[in-house]
This record gives sequence, structure tokens and C-alpha cells, in this order.
Amino acid sequence: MALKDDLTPMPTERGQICLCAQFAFVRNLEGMPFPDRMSDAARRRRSKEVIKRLQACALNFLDLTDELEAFNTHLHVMLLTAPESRLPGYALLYLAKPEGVEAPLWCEVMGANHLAFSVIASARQLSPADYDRLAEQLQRFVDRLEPVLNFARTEQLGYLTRQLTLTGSGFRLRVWLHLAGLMHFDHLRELENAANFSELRIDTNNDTGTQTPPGALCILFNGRSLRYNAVEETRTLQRFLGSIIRQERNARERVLVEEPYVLLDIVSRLQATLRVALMITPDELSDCLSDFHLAWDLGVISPKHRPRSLPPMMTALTFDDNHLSEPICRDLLERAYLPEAVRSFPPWFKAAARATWMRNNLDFSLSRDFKRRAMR
Amino acid sequence: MKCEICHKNEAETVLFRDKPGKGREELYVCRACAEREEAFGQERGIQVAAMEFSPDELPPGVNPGLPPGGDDEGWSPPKPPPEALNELGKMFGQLSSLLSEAGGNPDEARCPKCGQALEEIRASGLMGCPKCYEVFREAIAPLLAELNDCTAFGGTFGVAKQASGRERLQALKAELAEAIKREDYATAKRLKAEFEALKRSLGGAEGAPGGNYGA
Ligand SMILES: [Zn+2]
Ligand SMILES: [Zn+2]
Repeated sequence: MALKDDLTPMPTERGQICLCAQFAFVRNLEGMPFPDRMSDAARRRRSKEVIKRLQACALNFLDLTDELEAFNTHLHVMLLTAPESRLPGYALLYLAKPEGVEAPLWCEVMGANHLAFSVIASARQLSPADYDRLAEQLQRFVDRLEPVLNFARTEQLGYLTRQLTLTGSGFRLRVWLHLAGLMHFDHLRELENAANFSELRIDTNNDTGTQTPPGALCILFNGRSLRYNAVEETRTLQRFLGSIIRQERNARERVLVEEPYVLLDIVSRLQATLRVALMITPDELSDCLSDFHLAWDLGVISPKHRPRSLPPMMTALTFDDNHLSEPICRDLLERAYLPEAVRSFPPWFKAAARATWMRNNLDFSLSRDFKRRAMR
Repeated sequence: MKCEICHKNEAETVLFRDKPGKGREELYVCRACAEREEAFGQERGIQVAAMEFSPDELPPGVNPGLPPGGDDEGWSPPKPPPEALNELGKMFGQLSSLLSEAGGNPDEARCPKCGQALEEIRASGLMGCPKCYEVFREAIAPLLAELNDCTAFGGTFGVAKQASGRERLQALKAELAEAIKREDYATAKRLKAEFEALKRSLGGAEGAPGGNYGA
């Protein structure tokens, strides 16, 4: 079965900053522990029960649970509960045309919470008004289920969730951003402070505490859920997004205009890596994709020698250790000579496959104009 | 207890291995072995459980295998979801260390419904069940205030809270009888399914409306 995946089309306009947006509401049901506090048997039983109740609402959910393996590399599914965190009884439902919502809807049963409803859209195509509308539509959809599902909630705290940080509206809006320019000028700390000031958060996606997220990929999300409702949260985030995009665009132009020699260094290193690397980690792949996108965006790649299409920045997700499957690796490495030690040790085997994929897909040369300018 | 992998260091944490057909096997291991297995064990079906305490440090009388109330939902070892780790884990780590610096005594209270300890909530920001919110209301109030700069929900609810599932059941029963009377079998079928699902979830002995009203 083919699902519509609007994250994969190649960007037509220059610049790829806002990658995708996920609107999600989590809800729990009265009278049962949160999923990871149940025994496996109880969770499986409750999961079936909840699905039946959803179907009783006359929703034509497509149950993908038995084919989850096949969907692990679907870009939308990758933003949901990761395969290694799915507990027995976890179920994934899909609604292609949910009533009153203009985008497909994902429903996770027994993830971290009893229920999570998500809409995922390409953020590049969302206008400010689209953000408001999607949040409102999804909220109404979830509200309509309330009489049948009896969500756990209190007057004082709103909807009760597994995470204290979601309690209240149970709403989370996440926007994935590629911030190569701001990261280059070391401005992520300021950005984080500014986000906190607007009651938002930025996940820089790395545990080392440094301001260098792999691939300059950051997630902007609403960190609070108690004080405001979903539409108010969405407006705050969406306004802040506009200012991030302006600043990122400025930063990228600055690299090109003020530091062409530095940019030349970045892309030359990328070319060298593409030529010689035998094994690449997921984080390195993210960094390479980031440099490649920056170069493409700033027009320093020769139009004569470059990939026919721009691999989506989010591709890095597909190639992390959790999602890169054995068959894909075998395909990529079909004719490669590999020592037995690499072939039989999955982390190395995957790293070799990633390097091969990268060489096949990012090969390019630099525009002569740019080189001349950088060397002046 | 010695590590069951290296047999050298003291065991500090527990690993789980799901053996097909045999269920879950537990291995008590040291930090170093746990870290190694965390990196490479996945391929061999080994999961590392993030236990905050060593098996020897469990409060007396607490059996990690059983919920205190003997609830049928059972109890499984806590394993924070990834969201807790990457987005919020750090923040809660800071919060809980602030709390202990302020002289807050590690509280050993547990939720009677799900067995979640207050200590775990403080460390991870993760609740065990809706009941936890009631049981630990006072203890989590400062956490919520810190996170949200407010203590009460300012958003909106979907529909007015229904008084109970029972009331909804009664309403469905009436709607169903209505539909049958109008001979609207499509609606009746949907209502009947909704009625059955809700009744099962309530686990009650509410009599299903009878009557032969077609397929
Ligand atoms: Zn050991
Ligand atoms: Zn509880």
C-alpha cells in the first residue's frame, strides 16, 4: 500500500529551512495505568479494546500494526514512536481522510500514552493561517471522540498525560528546522534563549550539551501545555518561526558574502569525505547532508555536475541505525568488496552502506564562479 | 551481587532479553557491561532498563515484580520513553537535583493504583497513571508551576465532562431504541457497536438492549 508522503518531493524554491511540522494531541483513558506501567498482557488486551472503541465511532481507521516493519522507513512513521520504544500492544492506525481535517491522520495506541493523534505536514508548504487551521481541525476531531472514550482529565489540570510537560492541553506542535547558518555563527544559544522567552523550546537533539546538533537539525516545540490551548500555542510558535526563518536566511547569505573562503573550505571537505570515507555514522551523514544543502541553497554547486534532485534533508533520519534495514544495506553493498568482519558486524555494515549511499547521491562539483570569488 | 556478565564488578542495573517462546530473562550487570550491551546488544535482542536503583537498594517490602495493590494491569519495569530522555530528561534531572539541594527528602511514597514512586516522578517527570495526579497532587504542584508558570489549566475542554460512562450507556440505549423504532438500521448498527464497546470497557453487567433489528 502506498501512503501519501508529502515530505519527500524535492523543494523547488531555493532554501530549505522549515522541513516538517507535526501537530499532536495525546489523550489517556480513565481508570488504567499509562502503557509502560501495564503488564504486556494487559497492554495488549487494552489496546484491542481501545481500537474497538475507536472503530465504534465509525472511523475507518486502517490498522497498520501487522505491517509496521514495512512502514518503519516512511518519513511520517519515523517521527512517531521509534521502533525500539514500541511496547507489546502498540498499534498504529491511519486515516487517509479524517472527517473535518484536511490532512491524513495517524493514531498511535499504547505508545507513551494511551492515545496520540498526529497530523504531519511539510512545513515549507504551510502558511501561517494553515498552522492555526490544522491545530483547530485536529483539536475538533479529538474532541468529538471524547464522549465515547472518556478521557482522563480534571478541572484543575486539564487532560492528564504520562509526561508532566504535556498535561493540560495534551498538545504538542513540533517543527523540524535546518539551521546551518545560525549554527555556523554559533547563534543557537541565543536562539534557545529567545525561544524560552516566548515559552517555546528548541531541541538541539544532542546529549553532549554543545550547540552543534547533528546536521544542524533542530526541533522547535511548545514546551508548555497547562496555561494555553492548542490554537494559542500554535500562534505563538508560528510567529516565532517567522523570525527564525528570517534570521537563518540572513545568516546563510552572510556566509556566502562575507566568508566565501570559509564556505569553500566546508564544501571542499565534503567532497573529500565523499571521495574517501568507507564508513559513515548517522551523525556524520546528517552533517554531510547539511553542508550539501547549504551549498545547494547558496548556489555554489555547479549546475553541470550535481545530483539530478536534492535529497531531502530528513533523509538522514531514514539512515540512522534504527531505521536502516538489512535489505537496504545488502542492496547498496551488492557489489562492494567488504572484509568478513565488516559484513558480520551490523554497526560497521550499516556504516559502510551509508557511505555508499552518500557517494551515489551527493556527488557534485563546485561552480567555477564561486571558486573564483572565494579565491579572490 | 556480582555482575552476571563479567562476574567481577558489583551489579548496578538490570538488562532484559526476550527469548522467543521463553519470555523475559533478567541479567543483573555492572555499569560497564550495561553500557557495552546498550551499544551493541540490540542486535541480540537485549534491552537495557534504566533503573534508578540497584536491586539491593530497593526499599524494604517493595517487590519490583508486583504492584502493591495486586492490580490486574500488572507492573512492568520502568523504561522512560525516548521523548523523556531527549527533550525533558535533562530538565527534570536539573529540577530533581534542585529539589534535593533544597533539602527535600527523597520520598518513598508510591501510587496505590500503579505503584509509581514519587521519587521516580521527580527524577523523570513521568507519571504512572491518572490516579498519580491525585495521589501526588501536592508534590507535583511545584514541578508543574516551574514548568508552566501557572498552576491551573487555562485551556479549553472538548465537551462538557460526561457524568459517567454509565450515563452515556443509558443515553446510547435510548438512542438505539429510537433508531430501531424508526427502522433506521444503519444507525442502530453503529449505536449497538458503540454500546457494546462502551459496556465492555466499563466491565459492567448492564443488559444489552435486545430485539432483533436486522443485520
Ligand atoms: Zn560486568
Ligand atoms: Zn499511579
